[in-house]
Amino acid sequence: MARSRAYVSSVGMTSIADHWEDSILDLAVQASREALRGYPNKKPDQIIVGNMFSAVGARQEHLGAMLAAALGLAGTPAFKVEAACSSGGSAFNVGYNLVRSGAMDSALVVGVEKMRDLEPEDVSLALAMAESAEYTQFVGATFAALNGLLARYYMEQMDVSRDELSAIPVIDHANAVTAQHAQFRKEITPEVVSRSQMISDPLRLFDCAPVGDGAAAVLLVNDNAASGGRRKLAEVIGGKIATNDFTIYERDDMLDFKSTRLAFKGAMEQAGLAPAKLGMVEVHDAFSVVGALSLEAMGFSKRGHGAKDAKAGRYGRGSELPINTFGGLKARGHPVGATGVYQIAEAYLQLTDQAGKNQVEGVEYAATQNIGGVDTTSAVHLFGRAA
Amino acid sequence: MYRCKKCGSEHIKDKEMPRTGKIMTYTRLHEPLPGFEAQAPLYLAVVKLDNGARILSQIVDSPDEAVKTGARVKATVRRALVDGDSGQIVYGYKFIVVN
Repeated sequence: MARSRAYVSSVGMTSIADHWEDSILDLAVQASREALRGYPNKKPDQIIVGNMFSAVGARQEHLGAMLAAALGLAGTPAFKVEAACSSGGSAFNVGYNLVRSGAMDSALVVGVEKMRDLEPEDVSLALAMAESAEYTQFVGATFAALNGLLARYYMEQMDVSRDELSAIPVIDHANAVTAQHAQFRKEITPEVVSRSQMISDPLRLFDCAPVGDGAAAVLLVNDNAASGGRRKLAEVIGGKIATNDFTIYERDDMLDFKSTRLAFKGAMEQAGLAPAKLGMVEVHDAFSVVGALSLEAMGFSKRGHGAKDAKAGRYGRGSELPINTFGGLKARGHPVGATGVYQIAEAYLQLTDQAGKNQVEGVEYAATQNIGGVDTTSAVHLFGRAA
Repeated sequence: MYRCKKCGSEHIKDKEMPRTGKIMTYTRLHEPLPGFEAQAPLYLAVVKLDNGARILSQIVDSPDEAVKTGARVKATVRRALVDGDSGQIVYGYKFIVVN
């Protein structure tokens, strides 16, 4: 099978909010229809759903076939991909490989999550499934607690202050003000972060991505399927997934996000791209500390300097490398299995000059980084403008 | 682990761990998982045992001021969790700060 170029040709997103009146299927369909409007009279060869815990959040599995049928596309090969919070990015990676290999000419990738129908303690239980039942859930540790351990370790080992850690949430909120689909669209100050409720010391409420419902869809096409039409394309120039030791404490260096480091390096080599060419990054800041360590793992900041650089203005709007251009996980939102696809849809909007008030002027290349667990799985994708 | 990540060998043997170590990092969790509410707020720590191995565990029966990075701890047996109304009462290890 000959390799082809792969492109994102259209996208769809619901807002991220408390979608009390929409089922998981309603959300997935809404996003899918918007993406498919960019592909009139054609049917995707493959449907892939990224989702983490529909069984718990919606009492529903078998999302691939269910979505295909609801879209009037029964007969289409379809399945779900799950890799905790990197389900979206991982689902996209599968689609990318199918389409660029020529096994399929087009794929509809949809990330969706319903979280808000669960009581808070049940959301906690659902998210904890990203971590070991035998060793982590066993001691009563929530996902936030693991990140709290990491945050204290990062602050103590690397001499990072409270205000430095708050810098990424502040950037996120500033960017979300003009983002239509974002969950929280108000600016915040570092004081707002440091005065917010303690969740797992030292992580506070505003260090943590919120809980919400949402769906995002992207249509992947290769050269066979992309011809004709006036659709705007963004090329997928690289994409890799990597995994890490499963529990954070068994890692030789807890501050080395090895999955992200390997996935980013692999994707960049695949694309033949120099890091200096990247014009923006969608970073997986499920927690402020995770955003900082992700930037370090991708080599944008030196070890221990991710949060410090954010505080110094390195990553804000108008900087040399803007991050989380629509608000990132903290402000745009984080319906866990859907997030990876939201990031990719946002990169697409940027590279096709459709980002409105959030536009990064003239951006040529974008990276998206989507994590499951605490850098336990990392899916990194790279995009450029289509020739 | 079922296969060594370094050499790929499947000859994995259980080894008894030392019962003492020190806190590498810790957190104070205000809302633990369902089933652990009675223990909130809960101290959790990554404990580096004296042989270098690291595990995640609760820190119990220790004054707040004593729970800090570098504190020496020793293992003890405690009730870990209760498996619903009809399941087992499971016991496991937790750690206490020692002076």
